[in-house]
Amino acid sequence: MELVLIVNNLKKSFGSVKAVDGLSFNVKPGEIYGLLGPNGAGKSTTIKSILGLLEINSGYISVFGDDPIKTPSKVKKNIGYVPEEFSLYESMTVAELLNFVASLRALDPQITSLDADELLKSLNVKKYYDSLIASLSHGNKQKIQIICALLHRPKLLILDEPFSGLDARSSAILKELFQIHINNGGSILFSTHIMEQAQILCTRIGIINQGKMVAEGKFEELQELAQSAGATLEEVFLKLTDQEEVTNGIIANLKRLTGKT
Amino acid sequence: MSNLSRSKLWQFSKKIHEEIHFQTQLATGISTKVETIEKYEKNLKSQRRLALLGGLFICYILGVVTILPVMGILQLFSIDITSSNFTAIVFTNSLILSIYNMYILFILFMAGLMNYVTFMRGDYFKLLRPLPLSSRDMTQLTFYVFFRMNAIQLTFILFALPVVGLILTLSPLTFFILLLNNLINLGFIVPVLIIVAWILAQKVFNKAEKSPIGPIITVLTMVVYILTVIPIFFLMSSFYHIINQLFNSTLITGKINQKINFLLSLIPFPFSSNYLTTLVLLLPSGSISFPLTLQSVFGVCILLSFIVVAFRKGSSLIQKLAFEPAIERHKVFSEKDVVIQVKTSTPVVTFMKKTLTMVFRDYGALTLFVLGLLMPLIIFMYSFAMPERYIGSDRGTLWFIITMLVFLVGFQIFILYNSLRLSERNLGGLLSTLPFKERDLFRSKQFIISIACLLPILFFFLLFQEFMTIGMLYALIKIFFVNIITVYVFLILHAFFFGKINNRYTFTIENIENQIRKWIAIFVGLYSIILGYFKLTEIISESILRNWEIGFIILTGMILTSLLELITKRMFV
Repeated sequence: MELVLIVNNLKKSFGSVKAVDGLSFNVKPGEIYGLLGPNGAGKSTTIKSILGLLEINSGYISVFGDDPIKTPSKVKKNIGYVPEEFSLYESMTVAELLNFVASLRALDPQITSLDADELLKSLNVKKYYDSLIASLSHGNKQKIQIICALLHRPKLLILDEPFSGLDARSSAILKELFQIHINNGGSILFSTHIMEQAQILCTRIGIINQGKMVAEGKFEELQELAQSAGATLEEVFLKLTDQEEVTNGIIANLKRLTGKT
Repeated sequence: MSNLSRSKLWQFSKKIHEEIHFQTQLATGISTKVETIEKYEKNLKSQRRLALLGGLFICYILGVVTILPVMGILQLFSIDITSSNFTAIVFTNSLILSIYNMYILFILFMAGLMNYVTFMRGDYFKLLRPLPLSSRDMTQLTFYVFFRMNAIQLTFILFALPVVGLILTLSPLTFFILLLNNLINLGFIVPVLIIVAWILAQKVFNKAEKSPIGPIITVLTMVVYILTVIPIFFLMSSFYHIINQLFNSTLITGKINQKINFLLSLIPFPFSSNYLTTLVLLLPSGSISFPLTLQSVFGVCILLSFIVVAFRKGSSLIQKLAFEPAIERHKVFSEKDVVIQVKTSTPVVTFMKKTLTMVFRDYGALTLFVLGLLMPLIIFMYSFAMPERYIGSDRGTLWFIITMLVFLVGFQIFILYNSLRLSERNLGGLLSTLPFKERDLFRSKQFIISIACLLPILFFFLLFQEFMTIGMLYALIKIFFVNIITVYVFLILHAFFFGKINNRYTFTIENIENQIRKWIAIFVGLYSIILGYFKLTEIISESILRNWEIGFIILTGMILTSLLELITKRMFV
């Protein structure tokens, strides 16, 4: 079974700051892999390196056997990417943006129209088709990003905080879309801060801290690793990233503060 | 709710004023969002300094414009006024003062347009609404902010002419009359500006809505602004002659119809108050026209009533800002009639469409784009406005323009390129995740910039083809190739210095380290090639191939273009 994504001993520094420090993991076909980590852990740097958007210091990345540094275009054809921060052209309308993405991906206009119609309807943004992206709400912009990433039916979806700003209905639909994508033989790599979602959705989870892989495996395996049977992923995550004590201290202080007022 | 002291509110308004200035910079895109924020973080005082410098620059332009009425007043006091020339003198001086007032309206509006629009959007008062401020405080705060935005310019306009008038005539009466006249005119100009800015903020520069007339108005305002404000320093040198000629011609012919004066003095803005001012200034000379004075007083009364109405409307709009946002419309969207029809095109066309769409919807990018397009036109204007002694003859003028076209091409490309990349640099993320060929992006930029650079040459050729010598025609063909070559070289060097990543060259990522050195290298490279091409064609055609000059120019141009095309193919895959 060919692996969808291989990240091997990836290192990336910004000046003296080591953003990613020898990170290794892989994503298998039909798998939802969750990349979890506190802010600044190196998740976004890893994802950008996978897309060939950053110059890495050392290590090896392979997407469907292709090197994103040597053949970035080939790699990008197979990937649908939803970044954490909005990267849409806000002065375009939704229609203009979809035309732009479809043109650069050389998609068939007829099939893409049908796909776009279905996606826009499902995520309840069809009515904004002729609106400027700048005029859309945070959640609707996120939906448009997701649609752009799905438009070419990619084999691998990479999503950075995909549920950010989505309403309940859209979150449910996005989870369903994940499932459909997996059933069709696709794979997903996504990073999130929402532990409940990772716990429910992910086949395997990788927890990174300070650019290094702290723990990896199925949720039950992580519970075992943290020696916390019956604990939630949040509790396991805090324990494995050495944040449990600090968090408990802060909570205790806050309780005292609230008691005073 | 208790009220804050005025001094506290005044201090508070400073912060909001700085924020408006900062947001305007972001919105106009003169610097990119990242650059502006970096500058702001590095030096908090830089915003204050920038706002002050902006105000002083406008004062400088206004100061130059003030020469116009000063010249008029000097003429007014140096001419012997008789019953035969009275009508002509009143007409000329009133006309000059009126032109001056129109110029002030125009400059205040053009220079402060984006600040006014940003202010009238009212977004900055949203943050204040949840704070425990009384309605009186909010209203006063809004007015203070507005005053801060205009304090330097308005004070300058109010006092510049009266003070100069006082110095020249040593007459306090002149000072007070000119001051009163300025007060009346500003009383009208300021509320009008507020009302226009309100309309623009809602209808034209409303980012939430796609306005078809937005780009048209932006282009028009930018064209007018560039063609008038930038050459103002050159045109002002001609003012002295213009005013002299105006006075002389009207005095010599003396045939200014009394009816024209009667008609104009009835037009409230800009004529009535200026007619009245001229008539009062002429009082010491003993010349007076009662019917004209009465008419002017009547016109001024109408103007005052307009001022009251405009002032009330303007005040209510400013007050409104404090309590409700200017633009929050709730559109009802329906997906009933929406037909999803994805249309695709070739990557080059797609990039060109995207770039032009974004440029035309972005005030900052459009400003630069129009400036880049119009640069040669400004040179044409200067050339024809220049005294003959500098140029020599009509043919000299044409050679001057040709030289300037060559000299300008590097800067023109620099400005055009920057206008195209402003939007891209802020939001390059989406593009860098799509599988496209860098060569297509290169080609789209090359097409747009080349066409924009070649348009002035075509315009020049069509306009002056009758006066062209064969030498000039050859020079224009050289410029044609120079433009094509320079665009190639500029884009290649830019990608080489700024866009190297993973052994590839790109336009979507920019490494801005040592950027001054990089830009110097790019310009040295550009001008070496331009001058080298000119010199080479000149030497060879003069020595060896005199009879084959045109052929050699074209051949050299084509060889260079082919070489650059080869480099492009190697660099951008």
